Amino acid sequence: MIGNLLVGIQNEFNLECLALIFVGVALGIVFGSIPGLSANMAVTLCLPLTYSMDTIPGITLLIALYLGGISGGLISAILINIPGTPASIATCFDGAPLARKGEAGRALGTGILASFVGGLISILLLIFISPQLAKVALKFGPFEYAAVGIFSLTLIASLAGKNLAKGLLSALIGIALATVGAAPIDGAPRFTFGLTSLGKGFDIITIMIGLFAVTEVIETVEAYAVKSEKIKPLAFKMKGLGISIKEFFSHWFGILRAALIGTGIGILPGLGGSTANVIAYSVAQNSSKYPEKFGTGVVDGLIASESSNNATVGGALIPMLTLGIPGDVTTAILLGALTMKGVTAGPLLFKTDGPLVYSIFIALLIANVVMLVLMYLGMRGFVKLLSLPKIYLLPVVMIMCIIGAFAVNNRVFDIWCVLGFGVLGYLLKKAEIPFAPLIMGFILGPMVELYLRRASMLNEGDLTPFFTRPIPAVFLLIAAAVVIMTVIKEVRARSRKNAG
Amino acid sequence: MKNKWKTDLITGLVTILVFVVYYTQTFSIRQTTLVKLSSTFIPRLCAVAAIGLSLVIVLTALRDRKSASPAKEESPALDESGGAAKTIAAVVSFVLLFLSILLIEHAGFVWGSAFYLLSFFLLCSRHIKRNWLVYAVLTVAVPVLCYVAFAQGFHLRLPAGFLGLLGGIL
Repeated sequence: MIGNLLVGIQNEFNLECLALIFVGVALGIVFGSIPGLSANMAVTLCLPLTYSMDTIPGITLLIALYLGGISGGLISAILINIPGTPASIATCFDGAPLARKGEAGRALGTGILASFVGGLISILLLIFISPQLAKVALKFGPFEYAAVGIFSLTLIASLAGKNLAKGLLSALIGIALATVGAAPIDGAPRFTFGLTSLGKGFDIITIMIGLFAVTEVIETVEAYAVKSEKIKPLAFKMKGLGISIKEFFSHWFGILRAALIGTGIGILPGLGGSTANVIAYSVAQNSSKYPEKFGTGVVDGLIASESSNNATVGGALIPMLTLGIPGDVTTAILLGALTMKGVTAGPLLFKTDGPLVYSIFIALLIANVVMLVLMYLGMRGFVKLLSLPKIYLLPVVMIMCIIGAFAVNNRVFDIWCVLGFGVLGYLLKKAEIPFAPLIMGFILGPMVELYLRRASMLNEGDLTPFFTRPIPAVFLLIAAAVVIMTVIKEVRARSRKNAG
Repeated sequence: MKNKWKTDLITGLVTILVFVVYYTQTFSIRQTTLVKLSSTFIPRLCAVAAIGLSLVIVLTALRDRKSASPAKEESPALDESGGAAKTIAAVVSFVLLFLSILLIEHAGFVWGSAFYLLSFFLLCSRHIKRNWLVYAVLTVAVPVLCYVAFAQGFHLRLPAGFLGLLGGIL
């Protein structure tokens, strides 16, 4: 291991790789910060550039883009309340309120530092215990995945806001939207109304843009429509790194917990940053002494979201490198890039290509540091975005969103979907139905359905392993406990309200 | 909040209607014998749960209606503070986005996005001083730069429209 690490350091500490890391992280941050453009897109669009490169520089560039892309999402989430990527949806919940309070610098500083520490923890776990962690992932079959999905769905209750019924309804709308397209396992078309474009279903990017970006733009238009409403650029304070190191590390437990959640979710194929950030946020809120303050600009929520989403990077690489199973879409592209270079990921990779594996680890570590430096250097510039009148900023953001939606499948249909989800978002906002549960339902619904049906098929309809296997039984038990606690909380809150 | 119960009542009734239609559509899903848990299971479960929750919202709204005093109802004077103007602006904004996408699809990305930008500036600047120079620069520069950066730089095949007919000037 030490020998391979030294070779890895030698491979990465040269001008070519360092320059590629710098360019990759910077480009990734740009892609991540623009709503609609994501880490996936950055890696996909830059993949052809690596064809002519050697294996190590090529993979180094893609790794840097991946890390930068995940990290950049916090910028727009905090500054304009539009998540740059699905992995930073929960960053909006507390990051944007902090910015509105004039503490954009503090929000950005906290988010950047949380991203760095979360990423670092997951990379260290990747380096030192990835084979052991990969074995855990192997123990997950359809029953285990379905149980994790059901457990995660129960966390939606904490995202429901003031009205539990509306929050749960929002989650069901998300699940219903996810049922459009081909059904899992048998591919039966559902709710496609004969439209081939609907065969693939909706993409999370189009839903995210529609709900968050379009509604934000419409709210701005509404504000400009009234003469009495003065649209002033947000004021902001900017001091040092935005947050003191002492204050940041006073949240060490929350950072560590979110990083572990992110790494754990990253390891499980099919989930990724978009799920991790919302789950980590829910867990932080549920275990907080002041859960009612979440959503008003609490640093804990921001830390949970940002630490967990960056931790999925290391987590997702664990099954990719050790088992040859990609953890998310981006690692699937990375796996493809490795295959094109003649490298077969899997259990033998550490033996056959040890130096390459450790070069990837070192590239990740350097990229994480470069991300920290670039984000802090750019922080003052990012915050100045708040000085720009929204009349100039938001339509330009909307154009980028249109490009992002188009780039999902290279078709205009997805831009139409953005408009449709924009209308839905506007109506939901008027009805005071929160968006976060919808996103969770949309992501987790298909996962639960896929693994439930897979489990049913493998066991010929017998679902008793849910209760006889330890992992699903534990997750279902926790899920039941969460539901019972939520009901008790709701009943208590109602009786207090009626008494008051 | 003013008229909250009315909003909740409408929300509940609309979602009931939507999920009833959604439920009825599950009968047109092709069934296979491959999996015991059919492809209609989750949609039907989801529809039933959503209808149940919507009923809860409707019943809560009706209960709140009884407790809401007429004095708390929204007064016409309050509505004049911009409620109608805001709604009109929102609807116009959606229409403009619709037209822009139509233009992007048929005339190309550059024209469609330029139309969106210009119409957005005009829509939002009715009560503020218009800065025509900035509007003009952004309307031209943003679509062209985005098109060049993505179509040429990243080989993203954004709809070319007229520009494609001109033999790919850009």
